[in-house]
Amino acid sequence: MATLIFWLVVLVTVASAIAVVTARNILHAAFSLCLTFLGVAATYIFLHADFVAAVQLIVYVGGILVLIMFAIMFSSNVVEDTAEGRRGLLALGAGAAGMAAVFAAVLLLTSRLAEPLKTANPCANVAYAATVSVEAGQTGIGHCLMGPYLLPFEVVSVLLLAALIGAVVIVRKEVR
Amino acid sequence: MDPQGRPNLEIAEYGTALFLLLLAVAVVGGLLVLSRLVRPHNPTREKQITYECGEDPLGSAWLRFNIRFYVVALVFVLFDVEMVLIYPVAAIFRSLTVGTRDWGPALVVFGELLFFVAVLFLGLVYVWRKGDLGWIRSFRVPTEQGLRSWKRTAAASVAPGEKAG
Amino acid sequence: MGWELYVLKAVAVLLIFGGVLSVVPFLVFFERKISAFIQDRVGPNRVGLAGPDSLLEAFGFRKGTRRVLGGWLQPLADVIKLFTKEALIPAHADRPLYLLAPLFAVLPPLLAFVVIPVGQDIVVSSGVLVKLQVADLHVGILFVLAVASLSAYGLAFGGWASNSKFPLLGGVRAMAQMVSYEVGMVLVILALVMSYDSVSLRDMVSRQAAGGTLLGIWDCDGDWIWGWGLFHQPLAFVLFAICALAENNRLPFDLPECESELVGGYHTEYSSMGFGMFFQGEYIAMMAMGGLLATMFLGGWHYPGYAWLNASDSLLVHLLAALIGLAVFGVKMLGFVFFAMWVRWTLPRFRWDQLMRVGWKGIIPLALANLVLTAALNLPAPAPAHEKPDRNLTAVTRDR
Repeated sequence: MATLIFWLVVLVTVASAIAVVTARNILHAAFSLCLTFLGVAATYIFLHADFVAAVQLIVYVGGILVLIMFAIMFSSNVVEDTAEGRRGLLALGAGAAGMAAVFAAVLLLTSRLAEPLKTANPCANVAYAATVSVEAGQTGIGHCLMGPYLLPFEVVSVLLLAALIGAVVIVRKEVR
Repeated sequence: MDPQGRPNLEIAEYGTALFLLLLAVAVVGGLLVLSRLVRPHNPTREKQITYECGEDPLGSAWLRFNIRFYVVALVFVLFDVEMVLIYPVAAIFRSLTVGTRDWGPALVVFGELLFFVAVLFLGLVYVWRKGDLGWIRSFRVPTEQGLRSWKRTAAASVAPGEKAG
Repeated sequence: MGWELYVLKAVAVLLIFGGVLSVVPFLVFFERKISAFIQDRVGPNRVGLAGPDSLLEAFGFRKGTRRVLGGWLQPLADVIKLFTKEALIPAHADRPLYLLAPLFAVLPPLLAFVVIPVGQDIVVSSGVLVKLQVADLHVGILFVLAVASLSAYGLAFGGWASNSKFPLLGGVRAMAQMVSYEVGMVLVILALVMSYDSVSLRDMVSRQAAGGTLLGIWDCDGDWIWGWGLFHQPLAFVLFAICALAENNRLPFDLPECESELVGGYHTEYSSMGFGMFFQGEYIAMMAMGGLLATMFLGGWHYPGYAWLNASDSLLVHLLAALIGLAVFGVKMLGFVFFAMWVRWTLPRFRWDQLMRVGWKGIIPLALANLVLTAALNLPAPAPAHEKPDRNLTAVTRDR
């Protein structure tokens, strides 16, 4: 049963991902992207990483998709013309910068968390650290962040600050 | 199963959530379809044009938008990532502090959290001071000179009689 | 786990789902009645021949007024009307998206009810336990936040697909507003997560029922209502209520649909059941926010004396206690909905720049301050080590 649902989820995810790139109508592309994000979140759940799934929804669907939709709205012709004008391109560029920063942040965290977890570190006695576990004696992402990965955690905050300022500076030229 | 011997992750629980989702889709979709079968359907041109205060609509509605919306979304994304990263720490904060009675590690955790939040706040202060969150005024911070000249023109535009009143 | 547990679970899910959906038409009716009461009007009083008021009249009370519940069949009339009206779909609308958007408006708020515990666990017999909660997910409140981030898309896609100017403006506003107030809401909830030491809404309720030192300053008795989050996080309570109104597009924050400037906002071009779905979505979202507020600040299903009732061995008393808890939760949840209706006729609408200012420059700094304050108050105190409350309940839950 779970396997069947998993393959259905995969099917929907891949199909909507294909729809994103092939849709002539940029509206439909945005909608398909929304479905893709949902599918990816569901895949994370199947990977027993429900915290990552929640983050995926909160950050990508809640934030980045809004960003993309606003960026689309700067392009004048939504339905037929998929090539953005200068404004839209700049906005998309700023968005890409922000997204790259976010991606780098997540990558920094996960790459530090994923592999060593399986070998030797204080967090390794949990099967999956990707849950936000708070039960007594348990360790989860929180303990890892406050333990061996304190530095990446703090560096991420500075990195995000830099990304924020950078992205806003790029966009501000456009607003004036 | 985790070392404590209880189910670590609840695919089954998500299954229940999925059950609710499917139920909701079925019921809501069913209602929409049912209503479609029941209701009349005879469209005319007048019925199909969009509302624009009684006039025939002019041009397409998909127009360009104020880029400030975009700025808000941009700031939001970065805030969002930072906040989501604090969640796992917040969830264990008490177990690291209250439970221990030990000030050393507790202060370290508190300090780290404070630093993280401070950096977040710094970002907010930056976009705030630079006027990126302002909606109506220009993006430049009002200068003293500008304010003075604005006051002068405002004062000049008021007639002497009105001023007295 | 036997099959009967699956059946019980399915029944619980169906009850929560059906309960939420069936309350909506009555909420619409009560909103109209309450609006009328606040504005000193009568409100809908025609549909409903032999209403409860006729009974009152028969015994000589309130002769001829029909003010209280007159028109009590109005919800039914509304539903029939929405069902049978012709749907006017704009010729240049993006049809698939236009038809899908109402679905997207209803599903996210309904999904929020997945993790909200509407009542205490019912222990049918030893080991067999029915949770009055659809699913007890590890991510708890994060699931609600994740789902809430979806909720603007129904409005945005609806407004966008209509290919009309007013709905588009409404949709764009909905997205920007949702995004702005989500920051505040996430920060407020962060402080609560810290206070309750858990992201699970279920744990939050049991912490409140158990009392103890939630904020680290005062040790409270859980038997009475002093364990409720409201008394430990008053600032968070106020901020959350404001954010909840904003996320629901309720009146001081109803810019996405404000009828006086955007006609109807995102649902201008919707009629018939499509409009009905947007309408329903709004009320379900209000209930979800109310449920969240009740769970996090008002003790969820907890009420004074529940421990005394539960101490009894009798299954009947246990069921009664659970039933009272369910009712108490309903009252708290609908209390917020009433509050939202009350606010609607009390405060004027914000202007767009004011809305943004309140969100970014008012709520977010305050929520950040609240977070830091909570953290500071939770530093080690000379008090005895924090004991995990309600171990028994958790132990029973995890026994499966």
